[in-house]
Amino acid sequence: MTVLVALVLLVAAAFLLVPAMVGVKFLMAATSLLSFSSLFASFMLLVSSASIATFLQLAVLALSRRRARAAVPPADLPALAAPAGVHAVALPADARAADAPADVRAFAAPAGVRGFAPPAGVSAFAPPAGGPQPAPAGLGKRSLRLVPFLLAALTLLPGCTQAPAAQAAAPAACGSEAPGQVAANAELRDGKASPAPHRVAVPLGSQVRLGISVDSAAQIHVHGYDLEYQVRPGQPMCIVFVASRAGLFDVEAHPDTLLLQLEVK
Amino acid sequence: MSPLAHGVGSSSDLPLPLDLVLQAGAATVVLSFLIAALWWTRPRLAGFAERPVPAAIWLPALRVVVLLLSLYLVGNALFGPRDSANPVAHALFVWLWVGVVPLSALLGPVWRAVNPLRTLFRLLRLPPAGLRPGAGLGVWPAVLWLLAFVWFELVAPGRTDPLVIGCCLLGYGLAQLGMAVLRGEQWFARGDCFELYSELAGRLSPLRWQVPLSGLAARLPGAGAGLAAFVAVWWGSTVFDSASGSPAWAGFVQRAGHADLYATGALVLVCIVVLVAVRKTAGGLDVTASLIPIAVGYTLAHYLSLLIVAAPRGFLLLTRQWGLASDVAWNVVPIPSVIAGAQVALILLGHVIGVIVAHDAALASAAVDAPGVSGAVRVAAAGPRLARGVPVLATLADELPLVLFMIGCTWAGLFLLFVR
Repeated sequence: MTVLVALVLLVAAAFLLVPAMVGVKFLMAATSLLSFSSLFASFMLLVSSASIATFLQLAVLALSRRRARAAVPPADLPALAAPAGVHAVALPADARAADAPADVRAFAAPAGVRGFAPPAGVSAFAPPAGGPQPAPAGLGKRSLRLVPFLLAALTLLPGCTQAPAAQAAAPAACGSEAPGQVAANAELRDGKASPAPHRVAVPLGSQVRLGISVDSAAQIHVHGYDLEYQVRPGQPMCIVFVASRAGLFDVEAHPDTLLLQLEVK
Repeated sequence: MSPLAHGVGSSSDLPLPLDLVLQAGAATVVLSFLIAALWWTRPRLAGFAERPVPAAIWLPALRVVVLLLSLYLVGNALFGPRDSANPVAHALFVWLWVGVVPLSALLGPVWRAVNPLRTLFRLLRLPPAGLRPGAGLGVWPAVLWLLAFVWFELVAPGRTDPLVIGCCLLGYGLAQLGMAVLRGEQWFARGDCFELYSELAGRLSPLRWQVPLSGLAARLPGAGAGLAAFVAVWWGSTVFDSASGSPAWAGFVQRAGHADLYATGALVLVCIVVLVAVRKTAGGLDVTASLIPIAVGYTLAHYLSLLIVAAPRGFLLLTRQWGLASDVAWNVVPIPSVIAGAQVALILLGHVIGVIVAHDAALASAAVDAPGVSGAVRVAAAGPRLARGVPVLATLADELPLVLFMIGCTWAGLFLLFVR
């Protein structure tokens, strides 16, 4: 019976992989995570992956319970004849689990706890040796318990795709855009950036041409590359440089007005 | 003006790649439920004590060094150069605010050990018991001070002017010393926001606690709404820092005007939302302890490259003022993919520790409740349980809202590092 339940749970988990994969595929192809469909896809992903995890646990619990029950009967049969004996056996175990800090320390100290802190502990999982664990079923259960961890590790494996590229930059005011160049324009009007502050994707190593025009004198600062220029009204400036450093860099009119961000990668 | 005009806090990290975010998000969910249901079936963290601070000879010397350095930095901020050559911004925003977190998480509450205000208090022989001793408002003063500090760090106009920083530091020191005279030396433990900050991060220290993480299961100072508010301000301010760097926020503020006003409102609002979520979502369990690792992980992830780039730069500025090593430069640029991997690893690690702590607390409270059930019922119910006798999934049901809330926090952190 428990095997049947576990099988049903496993099959259900396998079926739930379908919406999870669809969600992942969709999110990979989406350009923005903020749209309704992307949020819906991530919601699907959340629900299906949580259900998969829960189903797997329940399946493992069902299987391990069966093993534990299979291991118990020889010890249980004489106890059935004398219920008082069960009582006496059960109580010390409860007391130990309940409120004896000295005992808790005794099981926690020998093994395991130290291995749990770093994530490497996931692979080096070892159930505590000193606890009141039943010895005969221990080995089988232990290897069974590794299964979800292996599955979790498998979900982490396929991670070699690239995030989708952002939109191309608008054509420049300071010269036309040649291959291998990225051009962007920004205008400072009444202390506001026009167009509204946005992000420009720049391939690493390409030449950047920034056309800047202002309506009142301003200091333009390209962060990261630490380029600073004084720009005067009526005299648009073209800042040309090679994006040789990866990162996300602000282009600002000092003191505090963001014109655009260069995303170099 | 100088490149420093935007403060030392302007981050140049690339957004996290989408595939990494998705995998980390999925791993968060899977790990949470695995830990809660299978891995951690007995309470193992409760009942351990903190190791005493070794009474080493170097500790008083270190206190004096930190005191002298602080006095020098404040004096230099007030009377020294008012440009980017002044190291006080690095000292306050990088060394103290960011650097104390990894140091405390490794070594325990370092700022409590070397707090220059405490040293000054002892050196001046002020009354240790205070003139009007009392518990006052618990840790709420530290919450307000922390809110004031993060406002100063993230919003205040002129926050990178050394003179402004010097005045604020002087005012903070005088206010703290005054309150300590009134309330006694124990004031610093609950009223000095940096000391409380270091104390909370220090609960993670593997050196100060016999069993790693047992510090988070021990009783926290001033546990309750005040401490939850402290963690909320800590986490919320980092969230606000991530969000306010985006072009969307900049565009909104430019269109709307009154940038400082809106930023102040948004900062307070984010902190309040986090506080309400912390207090209301978790049901009857106290979440604060389990949010600390998440806050530490997210803070470290958010400020990792700042720590690598700006902390040594501040040290160079300091030595340059003394005429030493004037030709040395620190031009290290972290590789974006390494930073991204480290950020995800830190966030996941913080989440895993948080889930472990929450689950352990739930198991411990279940174990305390259990003896109330009569023996016969327990025997009858013992049949379908695991041989170990702890109904794992029963505690899972209790802590489910908490685990979901923590998954939400971690996802929010990942998402913010993705859309930054």
